[in-house]
Amino acid sequence: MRPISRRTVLRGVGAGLALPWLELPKLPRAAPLRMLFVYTPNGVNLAEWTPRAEGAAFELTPTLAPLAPVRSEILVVSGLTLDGARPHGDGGGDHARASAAFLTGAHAAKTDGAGLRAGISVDQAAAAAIGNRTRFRSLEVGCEGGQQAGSCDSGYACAYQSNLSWRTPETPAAKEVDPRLVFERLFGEADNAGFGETKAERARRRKSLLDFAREDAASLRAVLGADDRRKLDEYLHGIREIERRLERAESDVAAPAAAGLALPAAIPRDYRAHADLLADLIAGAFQADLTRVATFSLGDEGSNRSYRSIGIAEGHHELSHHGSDTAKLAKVAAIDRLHVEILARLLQKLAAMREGETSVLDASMVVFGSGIGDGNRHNHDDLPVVVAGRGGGSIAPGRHVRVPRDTPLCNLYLALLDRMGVELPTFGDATGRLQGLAS
Amino acid sequence: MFLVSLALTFATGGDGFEKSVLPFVAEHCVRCHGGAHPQGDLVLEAFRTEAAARADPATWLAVRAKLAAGEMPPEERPRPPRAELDLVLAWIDDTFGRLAAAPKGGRVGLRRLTRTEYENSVRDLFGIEYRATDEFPADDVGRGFDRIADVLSTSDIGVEKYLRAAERIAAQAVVIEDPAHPPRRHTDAPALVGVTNGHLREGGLLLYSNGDADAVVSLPRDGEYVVRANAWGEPAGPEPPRMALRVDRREVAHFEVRVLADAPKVYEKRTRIAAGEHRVAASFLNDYYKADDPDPANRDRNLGVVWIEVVGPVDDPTLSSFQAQELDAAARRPAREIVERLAARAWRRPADAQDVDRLLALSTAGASAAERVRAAIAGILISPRFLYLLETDPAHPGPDERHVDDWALAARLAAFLWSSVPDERLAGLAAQGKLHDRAALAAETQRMLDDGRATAFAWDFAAQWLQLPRLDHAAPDPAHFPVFDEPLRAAMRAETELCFESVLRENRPALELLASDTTFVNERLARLYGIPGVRGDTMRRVHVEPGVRGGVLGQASILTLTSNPTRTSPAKRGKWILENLLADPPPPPPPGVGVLDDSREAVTAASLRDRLARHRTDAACAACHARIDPLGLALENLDAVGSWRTEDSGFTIDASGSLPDGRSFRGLVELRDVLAKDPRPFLRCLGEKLATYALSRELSDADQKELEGLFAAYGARPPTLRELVVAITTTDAFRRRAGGGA
Repeated sequence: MRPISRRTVLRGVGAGLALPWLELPKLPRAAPLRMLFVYTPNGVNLAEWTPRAEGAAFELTPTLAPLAPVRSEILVVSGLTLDGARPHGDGGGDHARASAAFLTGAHAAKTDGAGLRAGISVDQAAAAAIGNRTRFRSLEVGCEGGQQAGSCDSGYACAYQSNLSWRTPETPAAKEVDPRLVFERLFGEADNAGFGETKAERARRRKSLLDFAREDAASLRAVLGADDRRKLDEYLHGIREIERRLERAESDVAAPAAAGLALPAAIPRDYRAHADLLADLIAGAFQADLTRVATFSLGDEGSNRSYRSIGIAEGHHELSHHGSDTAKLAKVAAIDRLHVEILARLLQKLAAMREGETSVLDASMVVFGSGIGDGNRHNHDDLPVVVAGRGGGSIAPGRHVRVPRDTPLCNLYLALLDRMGVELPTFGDATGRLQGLAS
Repeated sequence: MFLVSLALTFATGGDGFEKSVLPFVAEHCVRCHGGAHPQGDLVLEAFRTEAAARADPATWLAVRAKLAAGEMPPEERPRPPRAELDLVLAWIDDTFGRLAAAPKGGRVGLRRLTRTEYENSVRDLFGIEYRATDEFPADDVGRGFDRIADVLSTSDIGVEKYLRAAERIAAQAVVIEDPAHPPRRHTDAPALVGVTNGHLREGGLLLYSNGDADAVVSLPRDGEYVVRANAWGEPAGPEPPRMALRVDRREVAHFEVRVLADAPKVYEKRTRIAAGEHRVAASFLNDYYKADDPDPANRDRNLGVVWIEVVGPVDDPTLSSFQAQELDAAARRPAREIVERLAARAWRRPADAQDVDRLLALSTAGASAAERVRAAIAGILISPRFLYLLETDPAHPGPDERHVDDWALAARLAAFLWSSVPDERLAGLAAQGKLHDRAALAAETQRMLDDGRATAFAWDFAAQWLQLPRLDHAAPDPAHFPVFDEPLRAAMRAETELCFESVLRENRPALELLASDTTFVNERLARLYGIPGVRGDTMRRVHVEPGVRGGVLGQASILTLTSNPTRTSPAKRGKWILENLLADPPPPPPPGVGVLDDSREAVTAASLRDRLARHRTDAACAACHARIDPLGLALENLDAVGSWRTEDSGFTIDASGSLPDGRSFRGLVELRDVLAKDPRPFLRCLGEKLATYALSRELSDADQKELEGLFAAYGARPPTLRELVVAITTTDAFRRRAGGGA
């Protein structure tokens, strides 16, 4: 409105506005690659999802339509299979197995108690290898906090459905649901304990507190049996992880900026608002390079949420058993579309975040998908999967590719891990590295 | 197994394998699972003797899963008669145990505290409330409960939360403040964040258009703080610049800023702020710009901010009960003594001198007693001795089962009955070694059940057993059920909790959980039930005539959480009854089976009962639904929020049914009477759930046997709920710890 003020702004805070003439020459080192996995539960309405045409001329189907603004940045991959989610003699429990297998490729141990076991998940494999480069090894968030009573799916422990990420085959990496807590963790001032101490005093005190915890655990470990030791090792891992972060924080120049994000209030009652807040936090964490690995669950597998805001009173899981009923299929597609809208908004956000000449999305590999193809059939082949981002130039999006029958989803993961610089001989049930991502 | 399944009574003899299994396998299985090219690499032909079969539990449990799920024999093959199939399943169950994933049994692993236990422990140790349930990641559920040692893992983020909690609780438990010099958090203009429409210049941050400048502060406790901003204005137009002070967008004050840049002024307001991180903002509210004003000095109104401060807390702190008692200035107890006592309580066993040394080493020797105790509290709470229920094996193990020591027993009791730490008396008995005596244990259990803290058990156990958390997520469709809202949801939950608690506290027969002539309602719930004369939101006990209300089956909570958003689900209700009242869960549906057609056409064409009946004509569904559906259909007079009805979608409701064993009933009341007439399955189910909760693990065969004996002891007189609880704390399962090695 005010020419004078405007000019003053440009002079005053120009450095923060990424004006071309102020930009540094392109760094020799490329922007760090990021990995994000977004999960949609209960499969999808595949008829409304899968494009008919392959290659660059693919059409945006009704469900994928919200991705139109980023069409050139997405790679629709059809035909991937999650064999670990199949029964293999274990009977019912497709939801639990699909969730447990989605990022691990593992066939979960059928137990509601002792012997909980899936496999290391792809995000955690990456976090273990490259997570020490960032303040947080990885970030796990989701819209649902897991079931808190009763039996879950067909004799499987609820942990299989409430977690996608597994740090070890036996230890899930729990997710956060409350955006406020995620914000405080990522962007909060290194957490004032309320002791009224200086930063240096706090660092000193905390170091001795963590030393104490570690020594205490070590002395207990000596008197415990093997199973109990494993439990205590989970605790010790957590302690060491905090120590690593504190050491890092000492060398960090400044606390990370919250990138224009406001401290969220309570968990929004509206589903879409909740999911968008979590998406913003992931984007903010990527932009500030607080972490390079994240998982985002739009709903726990088997979720029976009713999506009232889009006029759907029935539960999602209930609807997914559509029995080919047209009305139910339409509602399933509407829920799918809502989830895709959340993805589309997130991708646009990442695309708008500039890093030199490219965007955060250019340097990202976002996998969106479900461990079930069609919720009615509980099939684990022909999974709905979209890969978004350019993986730092290693992926050529803007296409629809159909992979050969029974190609493991883990083949895709292995190919993405390579790009992250995490070279593993194999992963999950991979039979090789998925080809054709680059062209 | 003791449990006589409501629907199927398995007849088994010693020669079950030769008589039942071999012929079945020969007829239905070996055609594919035999010969030169066995399907799925499974050779059932090879099991010619019982001994051979017994040697390979894995194969037979897999066979059981396939058979029970109806996946085998495959669809195109003839269905085996149900009776023959049942005999095979029964033999497998008897031989390898009912639980498919048979536990090693009897040994509880290192268990971390649940969120509820963490909260209650902090409350009992310090007298302060810490909302662990909101802060910590959810506890995963196994066997229906959130406290099963084997499924409670610890994630990195969980440990992070533990550290944060330990520090915050320590700061709240021991408040160290100097009222004369409250802390001042000062943020100069260059460090202000979240600036919209502003830029830095000499003299501060200039907000040239409506917008904010934030200071991010972290406050130690809930309390009164003074929020201050040093500001100046550039006036223009008809009014002076106006500024608001906000805390997290909540406006706490607003001011007219009449001073200029050469003489900034401090504007302040005292306000209440919660502990934790906050954004305190100075906001410019009334931008004004008129480029063509003849007076150049009257064209642009702006606000300048020099700094923002938050001072405080400035009110008197509320001291935790811990601080008031232990750090009482008059008592002048040495820090060491306080820390030693506290560590022993929080860790549920004595801390040795070395431990106390290490806790005291968390602060410098020159610090005040309060500072030393505060630092030690953070240490006590971050220690795995607090976070995990630790049971070490005794130094001289017996053959395979041993008594846990008295400290572990006290910890088990407190976790079971209070979801918390032992109190002084319990710890005292443990110290004297008097707790493992059965009589002492029973007496302590009685005392603990009389204590107010037992409400934790009543509500936590009842909620998990009856699956009340599902009620929190139930979403009845407002179009169908406009009566349902949040207050009604809360009243539904409260009814179930209060009913359980009253049966427990008043030492009433456990069977009253199933059938009772009283219940608890408030006005909203009473209206739903058609009970006249209840006014107000307070829940109160009411007498109900023998009818649908009184007992869990008639509670709106249960009826709602077992329904779909738009309609009842007799199958879900039937399954809920089998799982939670009869401990006889049906196997999961085989993959690929059809679901009930819920389309508008289907709903108007036939009653739900008829549609379910059609569903049952599918052989794959029939076997299980024959025992699931009748139970659920009996409740059809209660709609998806538990309100009475006689019609559904235009069809008169027929709530009659019979069980495969021939017992028949009409409606909820008769079903309940059938269940109550032979109360053993219900009581046995309740006993199993209580024991699983108490032991935090799956029940082993030995545990099951012990429970069986326990029930036999009651004979004809059904036990009270209290008696059941006491009986469980005095079982060997509760008092012992199975041998290690695994």
